[in-house]
Amino acid sequence: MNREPLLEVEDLTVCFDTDEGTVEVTDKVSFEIFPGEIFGLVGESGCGKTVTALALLKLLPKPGSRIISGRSFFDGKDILSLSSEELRHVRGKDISMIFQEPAAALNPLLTVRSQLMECFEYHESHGNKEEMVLDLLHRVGFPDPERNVSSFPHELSGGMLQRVMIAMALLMQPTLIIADEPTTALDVTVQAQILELLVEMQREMGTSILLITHNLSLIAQYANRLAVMYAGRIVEKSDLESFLSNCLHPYTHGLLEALPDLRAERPELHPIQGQVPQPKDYEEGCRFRERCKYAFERCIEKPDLFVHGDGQEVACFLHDKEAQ
Amino acid sequence: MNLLETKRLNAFFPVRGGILHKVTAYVKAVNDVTLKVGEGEIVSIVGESGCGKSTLGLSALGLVPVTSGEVFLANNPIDTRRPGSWKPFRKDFQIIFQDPFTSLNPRHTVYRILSEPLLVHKVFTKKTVKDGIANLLEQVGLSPDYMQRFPHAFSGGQRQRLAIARSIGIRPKLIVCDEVVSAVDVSVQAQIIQLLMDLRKEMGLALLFITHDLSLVKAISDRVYVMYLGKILESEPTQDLFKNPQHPYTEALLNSIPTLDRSRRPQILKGEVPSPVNLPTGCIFRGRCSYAQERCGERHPDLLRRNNGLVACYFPF
Repeated sequence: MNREPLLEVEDLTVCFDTDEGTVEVTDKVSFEIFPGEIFGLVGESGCGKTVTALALLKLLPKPGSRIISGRSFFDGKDILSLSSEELRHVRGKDISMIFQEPAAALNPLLTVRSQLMECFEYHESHGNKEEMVLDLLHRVGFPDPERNVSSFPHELSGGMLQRVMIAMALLMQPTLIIADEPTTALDVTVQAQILELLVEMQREMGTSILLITHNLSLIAQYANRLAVMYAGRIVEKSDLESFLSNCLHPYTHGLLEALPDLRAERPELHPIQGQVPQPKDYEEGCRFRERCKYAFERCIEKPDLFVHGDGQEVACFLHDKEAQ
Repeated sequence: MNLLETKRLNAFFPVRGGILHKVTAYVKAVNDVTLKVGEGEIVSIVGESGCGKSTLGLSALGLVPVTSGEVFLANNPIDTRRPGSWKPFRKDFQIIFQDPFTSLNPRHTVYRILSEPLLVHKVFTKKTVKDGIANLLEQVGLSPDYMQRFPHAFSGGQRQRLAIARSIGIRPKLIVCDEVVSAVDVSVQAQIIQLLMDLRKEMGLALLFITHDLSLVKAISDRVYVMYLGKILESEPTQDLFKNPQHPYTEALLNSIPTLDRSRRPQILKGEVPSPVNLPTGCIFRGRCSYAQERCGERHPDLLRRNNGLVACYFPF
């Protein structure tokens, strides 16, 4: 691919201070997102996917967390070195975020209108603001925007609140939207509505989306490329076609096997044995070793991302061509 | 024999309003539900959040008040107005809750959590209970060394194992599993389900499996009830339900599940679940149904036998 990436995250390492000392929750996470694509970041809870998203916008809670190393280049600027004043122009305008729990992300004391209009206080825009808000609410599926803008969050359902979040994220026509588990709190039927909406808006406006989720099926349906995270590290990076036809890392295999296959008459479940390690127990070597049925001596070393075929990268010694 | 049976069960919650705090309406969480679970059978209840599936499980076990209707446990009629009437059956009917972070007392050790039901139901005496707990822990795949630990030392998957251990210790005949895997990770979810399946084989357990995840339903259950706004819309053997859904809502639910297969895009069911306070007139699914016709506005269709199951629709597939 010769295109210039829109966002380039390089060696991002984040540390949390805990009672048991400092723990590294992500370890040299690198990936890039190209203009107009949907990039999926998959992993189980606690693997560091949300931390990565927050870190690249400098939204991590302080004190308590630190970014030890890494850069996040957006549009030629390193976001992590920007001052808070400069960041304010990027957040919400160039990069916007959709959070997991819409009910917690919206202010319960303000109406939908005032929360959406707030964007205009920080970012310049042309045209009639009220009209833009109403138009956008209509496009995200509010049947009666004139009435709905005066609603408070408690008057709306989870699906409707997430639509408000999407409208808010789209208001400034950002070039990148970070969607952190946008549908986890919603029902399957509403999940399909919300994601279709997001994809439709993405196509219309040419926005890129970083889609963070634990649901591989969603990635398979909507993403162009993806990265799989496990215990703070990216273990596999691939474009979707090669991933679905031939995923490489034993963990990814395990994840796919653990999903019930609806096409089967009587789907079988194949669990991955063992537990996800806690960040304080993270080892230097391959962190999936304990649960991996292919583990061998070399796995106590740290595997780097090996390039496999074209476009696929995997952090597993099974795929180290040079050694074999 | 039917282990658990409800007949025209209703569980309504009053909504109060106005200055005088009068009852202005009812939330019809469970509305006229007839349900059966046989011995050793795995029956699933599926539906979107707020459809009343959890309330149904809870009210059948007397954990939320029943407004009207009948409940039978192992063919014995229960006096639903008296909470005590469930008590003689508690030993045979257990429940595992959704969130293992709130269902285990954080100030009790594993020993205390697991010993309580064993001692109350006199399965073990104080002297022998320790062996019983060690066995239970092993049975659910945890080390007996964990006995003196507190719940905070365990991960979500391990806690759910503890909750399972607590409920199987007294050898129940039926366990109501209320969204038991929705709070755990995908890789652990399969472990928990596998454990339940193994225990079922071993002990001949019946399960009433309450979930919103249709793909799990297909993997484990014998029969399925599809619930919407407090009512059962369809009930079928699992295979039939997935092959030939008869109700438009079931079809829509099946079509909205995302799969790894990219050629099969999730289809969109328009609209949202209406409020259970003001139920729509006519068929309750009418507003979202793409097949709705004039007749659907008359009244909600009865749940009638058709093919191998029951369906509440004037125009079933």
